[in-house]
Amino acid sequence: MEPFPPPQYVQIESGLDGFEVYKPMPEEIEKQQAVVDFPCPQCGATMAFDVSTGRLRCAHCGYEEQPEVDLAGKSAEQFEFTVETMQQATHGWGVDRLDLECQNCGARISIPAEKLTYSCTFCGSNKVVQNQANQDHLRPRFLIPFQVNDTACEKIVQRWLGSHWMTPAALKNLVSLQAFSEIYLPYWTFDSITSAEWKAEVGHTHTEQYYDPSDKTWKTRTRIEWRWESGSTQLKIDDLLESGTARVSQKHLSAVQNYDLSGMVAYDPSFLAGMQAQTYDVPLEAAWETARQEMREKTRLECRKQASTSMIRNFRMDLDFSDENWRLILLPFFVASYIYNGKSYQVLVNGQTGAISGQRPVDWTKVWLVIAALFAPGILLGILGLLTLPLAGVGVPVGGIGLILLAISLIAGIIILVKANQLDDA
Amino acid sequence: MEFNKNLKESGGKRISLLDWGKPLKVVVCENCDWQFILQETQAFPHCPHCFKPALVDLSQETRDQLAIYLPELILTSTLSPGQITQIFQSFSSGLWFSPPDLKVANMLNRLALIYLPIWLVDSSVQATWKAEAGFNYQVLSHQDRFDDHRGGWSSQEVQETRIRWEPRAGKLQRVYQNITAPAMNEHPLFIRQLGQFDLTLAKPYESKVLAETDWMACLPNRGTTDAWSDAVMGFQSSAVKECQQACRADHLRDFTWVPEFSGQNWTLLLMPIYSTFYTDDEGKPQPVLVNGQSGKFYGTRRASLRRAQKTSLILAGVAVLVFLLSLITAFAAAVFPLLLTLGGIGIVLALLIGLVALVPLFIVWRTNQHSQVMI
Repeated sequence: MEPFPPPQYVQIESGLDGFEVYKPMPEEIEKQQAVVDFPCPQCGATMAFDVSTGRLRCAHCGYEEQPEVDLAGKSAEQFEFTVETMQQATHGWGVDRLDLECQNCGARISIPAEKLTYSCTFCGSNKVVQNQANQDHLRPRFLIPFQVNDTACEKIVQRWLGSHWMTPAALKNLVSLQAFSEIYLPYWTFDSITSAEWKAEVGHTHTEQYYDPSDKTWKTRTRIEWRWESGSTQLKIDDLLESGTARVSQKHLSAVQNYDLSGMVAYDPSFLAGMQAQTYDVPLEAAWETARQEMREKTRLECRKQASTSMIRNFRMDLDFSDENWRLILLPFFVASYIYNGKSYQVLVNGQTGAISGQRPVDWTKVWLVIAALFAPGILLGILGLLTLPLAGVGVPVGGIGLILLAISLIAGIIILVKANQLDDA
Repeated sequence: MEFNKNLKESGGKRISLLDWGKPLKVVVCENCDWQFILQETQAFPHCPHCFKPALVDLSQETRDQLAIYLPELILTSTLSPGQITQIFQSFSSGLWFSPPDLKVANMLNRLALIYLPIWLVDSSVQATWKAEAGFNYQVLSHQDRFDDHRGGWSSQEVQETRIRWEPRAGKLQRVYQNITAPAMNEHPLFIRQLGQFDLTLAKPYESKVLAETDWMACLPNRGTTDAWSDAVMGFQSSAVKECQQACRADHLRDFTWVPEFSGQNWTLLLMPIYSTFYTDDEGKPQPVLVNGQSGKFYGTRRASLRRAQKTSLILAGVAVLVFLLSLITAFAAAVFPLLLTLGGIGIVLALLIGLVALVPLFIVWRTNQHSQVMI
């Protein structure tokens, strides 16, 4: 006989006399402290998260503590775009700054509302701020911990700095390389199923022969025949990442955001101890709008692939989104900056995979020398050709080869200049 | 002949015919075993179910052994004589080669108002139950359109209703009243033929509500033991509705329960139907039934083969006559050549008439293939 009421069920108010109603006990929502401190239980000094060991470590006495790792992976909880969520998500934080009191030394500090962590300027203790979001699931609930440590990051950056021939050779051995900052940046993830039906005119080429009476010959011509085609497709788009911050270069963020989300763990403030962390300043609605644009473009391309040829006109498509879900997560980055010739350059490193993107100076002297070297053979042969022209026409082929080489070097030179400009503007 | 002798099924309460409030008697059809209650002064020439003249009165002794249940509710007939006449006119009209007996007057003469019974059962229910309660919530979604001619994408925000399912469990202690269960084995057939009755229009039974004109009420031929399983389904259905209310949910699914029933009380609800018949060529009665509440009727329209054969014979005879005359005319063409054409036309005409002579037989055959009518 099954026990009644079932285990872990609690009685709730019934809407009808004569009925008792029970429901499963709700999960206890952890009462979060507004600010979490990390004092060392051994010596009372401040602990910070050590990327090398993946543990909380006290720099003073060496005490280490393992944070609670609850691997969630790609099946981490997601939320739907309920009407209430969308109404509250657009209201933002409600305040510009948060006024907090340091529980270690009692100092009063004011920090921007979107900062998740801070260090007290008076006693240096590390703090993680929680509960500042106006809705529980608008705070980050999952993150990917750092898997690349400082040393590895420095090696990655140095290797990258010296990897392009256009960059100065001395870049690898820069004297003033400023410290790396480990930072968690906010990202939105979106899932959806897109169902689309499309219709278009698709062109098919036909080659045919016809008789031209003007010159009495048979000729060949190509005709395009347009036929209506239609089809449908369904795409399941999983974990599309959209940056939740507008304060970092989107171009470099896109280049390094190849995260493996199966490494996501449930949020624990210990992971953020001693690190910088920010929550979103790109609201959910704006990020979803960007994500939807990407999703519908992917779907449109998928539909176009179904056409029997690539000649398409009058393309029309109806697209329906369903099963839309989202979550807010934190992803680890190293942000490094360095100075070269008095100018500051930034580098972003993916804290999980080590992928790198950033700004590098261009050694224009080297670039111009290379371009000059490319032009030299052509110019020399051209001059030689001109000089040997009177000698029974020997100069003609020589000059011709010189012209061809000049043309090739012109094209190559333009390509090199464009790439150098792109590198300089990054 | 078997009688329902189980007094215990009536809750141990011996109810007599007098409790129906009128002087009544019980008759039984010796052909189909259906039992009927009717007014003591009434006499029906035939059984309204099988239409055989086989109704016999039950003796007082046998009557006393029957378990008679009180009607608690009754649906009265809403059809006027004019409407019934119209129904029969509609049934009998438009039938080629209809049987001679298929006349409105005949059907009206044989018309009987029968009250079909349904069980009504009251019971106290105590149960533990489990289910999933569904709560509606709104999500925002999008429908987008791409058109090369209209400059690309356009988007429309839509609200969709989704359901969040949560498990629930509980106990209930309720009294459910007037849960219905079929009291006749033929109940599903009647419903299929005549449609559902709107039981919400039933009124409390009073003897004066029974029609002053001739009527008969069937006695149940499906006992309360057999009907109990249907009644339990009815109780469960009521419990599901109330559970949803108790949970304050928009939906309920996967309902399971462990019920205990006590204090059952069985009564009856009477539903009116009109029964009549006509006889076909073979003298077999063809029933015509009418739902006394909605006017929906059911019957089999059978065309008369005899009449069709008679018509065919007449036409065939005419064809033969024309053929013979045409032959004579054709022979006479030896003298008067112009008569040959006339003869030829006559022969063709005779053949056509001969073909037409087959049509009545074909019509009757087709009609009798698709003879059921439900409106």
